[in-house]
Amino acid sequence: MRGAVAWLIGVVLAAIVAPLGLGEVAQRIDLQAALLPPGPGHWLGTDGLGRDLLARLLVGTTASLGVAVLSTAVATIVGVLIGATAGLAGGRVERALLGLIDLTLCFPAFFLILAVVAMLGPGLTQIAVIIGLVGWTQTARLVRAEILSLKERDFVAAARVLGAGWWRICRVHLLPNASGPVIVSAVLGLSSALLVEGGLSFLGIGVQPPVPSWGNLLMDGRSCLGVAWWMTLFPGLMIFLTVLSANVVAERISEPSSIAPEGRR
Amino acid sequence: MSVAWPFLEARELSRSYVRGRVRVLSGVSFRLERGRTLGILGESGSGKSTLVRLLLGLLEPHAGKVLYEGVDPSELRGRERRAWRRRVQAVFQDPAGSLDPRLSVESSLAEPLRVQGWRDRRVIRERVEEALDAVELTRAYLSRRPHQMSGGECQRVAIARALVLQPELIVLDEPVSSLDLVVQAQVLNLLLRLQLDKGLSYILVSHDLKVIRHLAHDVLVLRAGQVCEAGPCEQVFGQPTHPYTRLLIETSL
Amino acid sequence: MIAGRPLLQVRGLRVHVPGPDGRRVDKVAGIDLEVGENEFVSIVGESGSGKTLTVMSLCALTPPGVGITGSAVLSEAGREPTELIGAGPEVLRSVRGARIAYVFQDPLDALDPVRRCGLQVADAYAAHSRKSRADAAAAALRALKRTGLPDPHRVYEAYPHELSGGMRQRVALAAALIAGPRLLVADEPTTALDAQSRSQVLSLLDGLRADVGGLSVLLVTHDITLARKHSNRIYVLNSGRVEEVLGHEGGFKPVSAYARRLFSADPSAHAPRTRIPV
Repeated sequence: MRGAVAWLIGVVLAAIVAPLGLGEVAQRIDLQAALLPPGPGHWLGTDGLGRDLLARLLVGTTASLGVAVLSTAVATIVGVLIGATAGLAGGRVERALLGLIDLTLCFPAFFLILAVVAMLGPGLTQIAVIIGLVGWTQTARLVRAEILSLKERDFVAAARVLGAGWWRICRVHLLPNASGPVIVSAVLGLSSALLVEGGLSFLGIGVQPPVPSWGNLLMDGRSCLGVAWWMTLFPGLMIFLTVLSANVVAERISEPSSIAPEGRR
Repeated sequence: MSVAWPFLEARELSRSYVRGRVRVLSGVSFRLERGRTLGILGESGSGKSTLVRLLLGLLEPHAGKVLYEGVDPSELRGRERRAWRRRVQAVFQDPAGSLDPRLSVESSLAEPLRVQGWRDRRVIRERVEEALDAVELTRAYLSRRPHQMSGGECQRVAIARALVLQPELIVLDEPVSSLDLVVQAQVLNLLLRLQLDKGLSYILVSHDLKVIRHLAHDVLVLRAGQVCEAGPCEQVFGQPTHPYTRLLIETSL
Repeated sequence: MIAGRPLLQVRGLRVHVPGPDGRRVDKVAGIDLEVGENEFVSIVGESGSGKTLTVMSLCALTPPGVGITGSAVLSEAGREPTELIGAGPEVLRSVRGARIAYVFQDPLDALDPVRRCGLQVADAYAAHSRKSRADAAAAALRALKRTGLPDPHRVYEAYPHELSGGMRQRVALAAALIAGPRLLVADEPTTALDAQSRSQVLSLLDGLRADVGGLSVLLVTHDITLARKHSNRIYVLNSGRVEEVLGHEGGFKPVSAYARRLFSADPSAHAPRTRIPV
């Protein structure tokens, strides 16, 4: 757990700091030093153009994590809005929104993203927004279910007796109480967005070179897998460890003990 | 004209579910005078929870009317509706469930005032402390959250929340049924004292005949959505006329 | 104090659970308790007083991680006395159901929702005898009949959700009693029932005691009125200890401060709309 948190903090720091300090190093081409294995000068080795892999990985964090965070934010906002509306409104509105969720789930998400990128062209923001727009369903379902069960609780009835309107009840009572599962789902969403970005960049329609991202670094490595294993291993390891850490953290948050430390009998 | 109206009157209240096929309440009528307690005795499935929701305006009746001093609250709008809300409060059964688990006692008690549009923090704090005093809890409870309190303490906070707006009527929906006997007795004592001190009227809904007999002036025995016996407690429990009332007495006393 | 022969003798029963800091926490801290043959004994106490743990520990029905020490001896006429605490799984299996039976508060929890009620009663029979399925079915039908269910054939074929709470509790009772136990442990058996079923289940318990010949009842309840009305003796429990034992002869008049407070908290013991002294 501690390792996971530390890793995530490190990744976030890298995403913020790396482009400032290492942006230039990451792009410095040195054909003399091409395809060097990990060693004292280049800790994680170099790529086919002699660029330092460690620097490129660190700088790549910005694009990868940026896409993941932005898309998760989009997914969470859309999910909470739609889920809360469905849970509160009930009736026809709820049925329509549930239909929308099912419809969204019917499309194979990855191919939808492929299609949209093919139409609009690749770009960090587009990718992030599209990943977000197909990834909100889980959150919406969670929020709706939470609100449906919270709505029946006595404290909500008590709030209605006080004369509070639904908007106030939602703001003061429902959404804060539903936040636990939403946070968990957002952290999980973060890791799946990371994987989708990796996949897209690997296929060459994600983050475009020369801007490095974990996904396109992985793709670079593919062509020289036989001679430069490090070019594939380290980007893969970055994605793997970050996704793993996010999942560990999400699992931990979702344990009931972490929410009510002094739970009653 | 206001003299003629009873404080609260229910007229032929009916409500059904599943598109009118299941009647949960049919033709329930009663009157409640100021400062008195009406006990509604009913088991699960008797329609008592529906009745509570109708009285609190959380549901609309399909037939009949609830009149507070001759006024039907469902016809009130805006400021008048809010003023009516202030006069009628509720305490629910599940002590932990009736408080928002994330809010401190202070926020829970301040919430009613905020909803009513109060803004002055100092005045709010004063009222909150007053309510806490009334339910015999110390100031140390202000920062507690529901999971840090016992069932009895939670229920006291729930009563304090109902008191904060200085209402005239409190609808008590099974207020002591999930409490242990000694704590139950303490809460009953508290409810009795508050009624005498503040001239409150109560509607006490319970499946527990002993609780109703102890607290209520009048009682209404509800079964399968209908009133099967009503009258002053001594009369109904002393000389029950309906076999169902007799059965209730036999199995709980 | 016991009227007849002792059937169950509990001595120094302790039940402990692992506490948050790894130390043992005693939930039941040395309880002595006796149930005589044909006796109706009640255990009353507030929640957390250890009343349910006490009766569950008799047949090792406590959750894993709970430690039980002390002694509980079941001695039936014409049988070797059996020590229950620390007994092996073989012994416990032969005791559960056949010699000590249990009914709980919520009969819906105790019955399998996807199996017909009659079969569940027959299962309880088959677990303790080598009779054929037809015999088990006939025994189940007889057991259902004995609990006073109006239409035992229909109940036999019904699934639990098709029955009312009171009927379900009687099915659970039929299953509990089918193997002819000597002791019936009933944990709040009427709390979840309406007045009609409550009265039926209670008079059934009283009737079975006379009818079966030698059935003792150990009732766990928080309802003092109920305990007073039906028991020969009442054990008042307070945080894992027996605070006081009250006998029918003494009119269940408590002496200890705790028991007096508990009994006094019953509102029906006081004039309406007066302060309850607690």
